[in-house]
Amino acid sequence: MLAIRLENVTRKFGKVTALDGISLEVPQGEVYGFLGRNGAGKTTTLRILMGILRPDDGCVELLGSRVRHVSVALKRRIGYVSQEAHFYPWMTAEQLGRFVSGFYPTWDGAEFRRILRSLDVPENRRSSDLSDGTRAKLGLALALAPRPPLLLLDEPTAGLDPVARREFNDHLALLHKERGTTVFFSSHHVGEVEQLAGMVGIIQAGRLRFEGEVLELRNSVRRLELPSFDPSAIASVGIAGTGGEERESGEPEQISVTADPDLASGTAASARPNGDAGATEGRPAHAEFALPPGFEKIRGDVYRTEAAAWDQTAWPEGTRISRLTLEEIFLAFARTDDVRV
Amino acid sequence: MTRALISKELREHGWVFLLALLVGALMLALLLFQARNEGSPFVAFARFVAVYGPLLTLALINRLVVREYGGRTQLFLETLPLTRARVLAVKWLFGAALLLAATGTALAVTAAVASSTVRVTPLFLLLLTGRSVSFLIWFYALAFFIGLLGRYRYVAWGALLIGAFVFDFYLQLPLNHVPPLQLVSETMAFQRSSAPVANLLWTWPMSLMLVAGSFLIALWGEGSLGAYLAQRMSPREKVVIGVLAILPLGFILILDRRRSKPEFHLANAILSEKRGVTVGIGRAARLDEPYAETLADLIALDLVELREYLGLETIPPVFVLPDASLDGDLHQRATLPASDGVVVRSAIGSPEFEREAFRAFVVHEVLDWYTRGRASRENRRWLLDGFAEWWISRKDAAFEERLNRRAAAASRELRLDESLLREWLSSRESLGDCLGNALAWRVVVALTELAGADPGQRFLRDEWGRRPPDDARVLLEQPLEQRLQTIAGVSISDLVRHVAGVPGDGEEARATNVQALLASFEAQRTHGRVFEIHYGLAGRNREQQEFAVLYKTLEPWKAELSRDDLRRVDTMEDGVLPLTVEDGTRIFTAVEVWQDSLSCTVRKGARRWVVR
Repeated sequence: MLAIRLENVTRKFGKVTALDGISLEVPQGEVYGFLGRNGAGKTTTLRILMGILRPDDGCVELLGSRVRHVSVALKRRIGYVSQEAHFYPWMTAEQLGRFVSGFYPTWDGAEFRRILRSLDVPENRRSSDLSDGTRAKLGLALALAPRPPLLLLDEPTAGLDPVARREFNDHLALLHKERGTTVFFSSHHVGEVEQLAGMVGIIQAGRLRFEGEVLELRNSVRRLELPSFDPSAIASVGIAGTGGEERESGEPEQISVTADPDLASGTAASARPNGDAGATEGRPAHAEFALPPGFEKIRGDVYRTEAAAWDQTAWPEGTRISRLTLEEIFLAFARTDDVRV
Repeated sequence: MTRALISKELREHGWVFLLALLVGALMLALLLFQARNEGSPFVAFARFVAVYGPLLTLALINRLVVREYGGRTQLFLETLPLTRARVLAVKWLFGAALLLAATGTALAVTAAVASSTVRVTPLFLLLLTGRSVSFLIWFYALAFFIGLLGRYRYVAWGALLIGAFVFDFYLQLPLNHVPPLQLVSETMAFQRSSAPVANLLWTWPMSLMLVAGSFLIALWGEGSLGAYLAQRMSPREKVVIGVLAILPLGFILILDRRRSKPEFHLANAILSEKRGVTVGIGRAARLDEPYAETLADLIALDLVELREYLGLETIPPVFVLPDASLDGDLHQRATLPASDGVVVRSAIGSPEFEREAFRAFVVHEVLDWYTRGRASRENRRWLLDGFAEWWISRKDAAFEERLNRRAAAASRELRLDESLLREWLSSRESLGDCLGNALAWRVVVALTELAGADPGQRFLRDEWGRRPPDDARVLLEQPLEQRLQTIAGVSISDLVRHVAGVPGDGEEARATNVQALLASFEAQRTHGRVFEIHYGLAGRNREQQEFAVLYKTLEPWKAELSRDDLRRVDTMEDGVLPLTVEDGTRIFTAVEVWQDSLSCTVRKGARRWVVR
């Protein structure tokens, strides 16, 4: 069963399209890391899921129910921690707990106090006197105390120091392990997603660029570095073509060489047998290597395809294929020109 | 959920509400005490609703709405299983319930107090309740709506206040005659059987619209409008709002200045109308009417000639109010806040009343009116004072001779120099009106003699012929001395030298009959830092000669002292002023004595000094 399903959800703020037909699925019991740069659309997605905003278009399903408007009853089954905690400054953690408990029939006061203790949040200090990190932990305690089956966290660790972030994440991991709560959290800390999430979605400029398991993401995205060509020495280079067929040297008229700026940054080149684009007298020969279908260029020399395709493709001699860290993959997805800030 | 919200509001604002209720109780007690002789204790209730109701409303809205949205804590509420509409509705109803509970308690207390003095019927109580609840709900809905405007709430209140001021003051439409406010006018305490249906039919729809507007702001764009309005103003917005606020204020001020006031008219006055100039003298007991008619004709002719000589575009209506209580040589001009014209008071027909001096005073005041008071500024006042006397004396040899005698006496008091003219108000304060005017007259005579008739007239036309603009353009005017030199070819020093050369044949003789009087003032310590002031006048030629002692303690920056500002003791012997002053007090003192030889009162020993 899916805890969350979004289908072609679009949301605009005036002329700005915050979400542009986003679709994603979060299975129940999963921890889903929602990665994206600032302004990518993470908060808008979460606010739509929480019913604070409504989508202009598209379909939202929460805990198995298709919703146009998130009802109060459904909200009671969702724990939500917002990016900025706007607690009443004069309330203590204990008073906030008492206040919030009035809205949740499933509120577990003992659990709330237990979480406060385990997160080291003072019960009797006013929220205005708490540090940002402690306020974030208080927000988590308030969200968890009703024992919701779905937890939505909007960059909960933004602004926390590394120690506080680690404590927060450890606690979240522990709670997920104990209760099996579905957690959908947004972040731009890749390490955090790597630590907690089984699934990841990468959003960029309001569009979902990737969704899947973290391991699958790491296997499917690699750096591809094709060998450099020296156009003057092209006649002596052996080229591996699409079907792996060898071309003999001494056939330069049948091979052209090009510097593909997108693929190989000028000096690296791809080559492919190209009888149509024959050499022109007095000019360098032109050779191209065509990537097989199914390869998607992410950015620069970073490509994505099915994990098996990387091994099944016959690459030109000297081609280097390397694995990337999740952070490198995220950066490749995120560094595009259509970023809204 | 609702209970949780209400208990939160009570915990957050409870002490403020309690304090407000205590203030309300105190205010009601005071109002009841104040209204004990006003026909009905319900007058106090009407005032309570009209004054305390809005004050409590503002406090409630500030706590319930402004604080929530300003602190952005409504965003926290949005994350809870609550709808925005419920949050807003709970707040609205909670505040309204508190407001009505306070008012209901006040009504119950007032009814209990009133039951012993007036008849309190259920219908009357129902009417009072309906009126006060309708008014309060309207104001509460208005304040709630404005509270949701967030950073623009002060702008909205300011605009409303300015609008109310314009409505009430400029359009002369009293606000308490407008439906929601009329509901709680003091007549509510006495209207025992009829319901103000028309007022209610205006008020309820207005309230409903305001409530709808509040919900619209709070719910529009999933609460984004309310959250946006609650943000702080940017510096650019502040500038724009500031400019937008100043513009209507400036417009109102201009309106105030430019608004043409109706001309003053005195009914049943003795009128003289000559070629568009109207002069009226009010009728009074013991007024010699033929004398008054002649005087009115003379003044009218003076002003007709003045208009032609200076090329004035208009002459204001002039009205004279006879006032036998004034000294004969003291003339006063009235301030007219709501009408236009020149209105003066004088003791017409009293033994000391000098007709020519009074005509000169009228000319003086007409020119002051025409130049919007600019002719009375210190650096040019001598010209106005002297011209007014010259205008009358140029055809009256007897008056000219009196002025000559007075000018001679003035010259014995003060040695004329340029600074004396430039600081004319000080000189005049020292000499008094009679001698001051005469000395100024002599300077104007010098001007006409030195410049010649035509250049002198051109200069005077340039000075007064066009009504000056009532704005900053007056700053572009050339200084008087420059224009005097350019147009009349005369400088101030020329005038001073010419006046100094006047003594000759007869000048000494003119002043010989003037008493040589010496006024003295002395501060004597009574105890501690407290002083009393002793005065004396030496040189009196008879023991029973009356004189007036003038005095005034001076505040900082006090410039011109008119005779109306001064306190006065009429006496025939030396004595002590009826005041005690502290060490270091600044004070003005002078003595004024009637001089038969000059036919006017002269001032002696005038000075500003510090009591030590």
